[in-house]
Amino acid sequence: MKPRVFLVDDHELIRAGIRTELSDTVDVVGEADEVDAAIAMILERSPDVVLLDVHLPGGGGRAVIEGVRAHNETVAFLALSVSDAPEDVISLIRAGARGYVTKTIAASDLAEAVAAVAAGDVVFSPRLAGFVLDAFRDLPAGTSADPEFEALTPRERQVLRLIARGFSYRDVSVELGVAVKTVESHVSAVLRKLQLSNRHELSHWAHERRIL
Amino acid sequence: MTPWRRAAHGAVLGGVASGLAVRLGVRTSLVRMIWLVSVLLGGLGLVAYVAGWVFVPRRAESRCIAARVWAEPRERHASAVAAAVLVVLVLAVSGVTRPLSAGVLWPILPSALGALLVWRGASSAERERLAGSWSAPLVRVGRDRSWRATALRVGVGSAGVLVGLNVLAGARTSPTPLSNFLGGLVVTGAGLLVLFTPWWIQTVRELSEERLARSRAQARADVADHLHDSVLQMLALIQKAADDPAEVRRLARTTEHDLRAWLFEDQHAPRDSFAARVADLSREIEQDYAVRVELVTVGDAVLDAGLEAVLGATREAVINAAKWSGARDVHVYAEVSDEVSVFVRDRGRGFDPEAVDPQRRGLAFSIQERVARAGGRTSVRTRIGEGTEVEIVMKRAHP
Repeated sequence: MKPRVFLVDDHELIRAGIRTELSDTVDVVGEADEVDAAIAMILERSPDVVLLDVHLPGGGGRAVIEGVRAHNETVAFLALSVSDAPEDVISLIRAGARGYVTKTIAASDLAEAVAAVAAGDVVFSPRLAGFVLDAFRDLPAGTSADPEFEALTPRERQVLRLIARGFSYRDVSVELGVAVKTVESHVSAVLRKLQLSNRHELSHWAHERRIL
Repeated sequence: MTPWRRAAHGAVLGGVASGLAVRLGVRTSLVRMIWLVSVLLGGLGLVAYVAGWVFVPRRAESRCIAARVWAEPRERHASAVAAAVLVVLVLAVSGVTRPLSAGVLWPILPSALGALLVWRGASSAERERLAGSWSAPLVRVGRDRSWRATALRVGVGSAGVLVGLNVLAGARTSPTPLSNFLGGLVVTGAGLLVLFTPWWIQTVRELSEERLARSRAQARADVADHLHDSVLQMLALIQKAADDPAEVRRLARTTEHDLRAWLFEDQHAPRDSFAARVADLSREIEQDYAVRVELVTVGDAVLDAGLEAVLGATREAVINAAKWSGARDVHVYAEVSDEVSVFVRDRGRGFDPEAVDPQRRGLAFSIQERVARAGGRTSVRTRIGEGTEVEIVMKRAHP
């Protein structure tokens, strides 16, 4: 069954482009070009995946995620942006997006990313992996009060490095000799740490890059 | 019965009258009327008002102004000195202008003392309100261009100027020349103030708005210039190259980088930053070849000889991938920690390391050679049909 997808982007041309690219692989159930309309329609239609622009009139993609998740936790968000700025990307991930891809992504890769998010997986682009490595850099494990969310395990770092080098999850699984599912569970763990950590260093990093 | 407190809202000056009205349960306007009459009948009202201002606490405040000043030794001393100066000043003036002294000057002295205390001891909330209530009417009057407001302003202002000039003209023949002269000056000045202050405020405001508008127009012109130079030119090129997808992609990518660099210019790292230089070289290669360089950098360092060698090797590795792999994307991952590692990866056609054509081996050799000389190492992983990855690692001299 095709995943039901909702598009949120304030540029009609971009929406039309995505609609065309994905017409064979997903079911586009609606679109919106601003925050309030997006929240109302997403809650009404509860799609599997929302493709969400970072910059939107009326509060940005983050406001959409927060507005929807207050009422509905099952809708998954995939951030889609022309922005390469870490502050945009990380703030959406921390708000609850399940992944991030740039708008220049090839149609087939976008379809795969949507399917992955619909299946409950996390989509890490090389760039997002780089941002996370940068954010958690130089932090020895077990140095603070809440170790569970404080540092990445060596294995998680290894996985992120491979993704940052351009490896797909499958490439990573071959490289490390583990199942693809194992790779997915590693990146899910990283995403959770990113969302739950209130680590001092992370907020410092965020501040340096004008996040939050 | 509620204690007497000065009003915090709806006050004209210190809120003494409205506070008293609340305390007595009568209308504020009645209290104000009685007060006005008492002021005109000899100034007693003025002294009483200032006393109320200084000795009655403001609503929601525990201490009166006098108590505040008293509690601060520094303020206490400063006020005592200022009061002494004031007394001397008033006595001196009244010595010169004897006929005025009895009727006019005696309420002025305690009132001025009270005003001094208010100035030094008022709470920050009250200060704020006072500042607002003094500047707001002027601004409002300046903005009010209705016929009635203008007529009132011109009428009051000209009357003040006329009366003042008249007093000045009669000063020489009057029995109290100095006080007439001073009074005339004050009244004339007040009249001029009423006439011209709103106009002046308006002019200042318009000037600053105009300046703002001009700098906005300048910024807009800069944007237009830039859009014309880069984006419009590029769009023209793209239309011409419409039949060549690779070229269109390259042009679009170049424009994107150019715009980004222009928009986020101030965020750029300094020129001697390793990460910035890797970004530069990726951009240059994208312009020269029809590839997209997906660059991810983690960490950064100031360039040194070793890092220069890494940069040079990275450039060659990316160019190699762009020229030979046939892939659309080249991934570059550069990480700086105790050591610098760069991975250049494509998912192109790959090659058989044992049977490379001499030209390519030459390039690979020059990468290895260059890095080895600077104390680093390189490795190449490739297989036919599965792409190529070049790894460059260098220990840092001063991590």
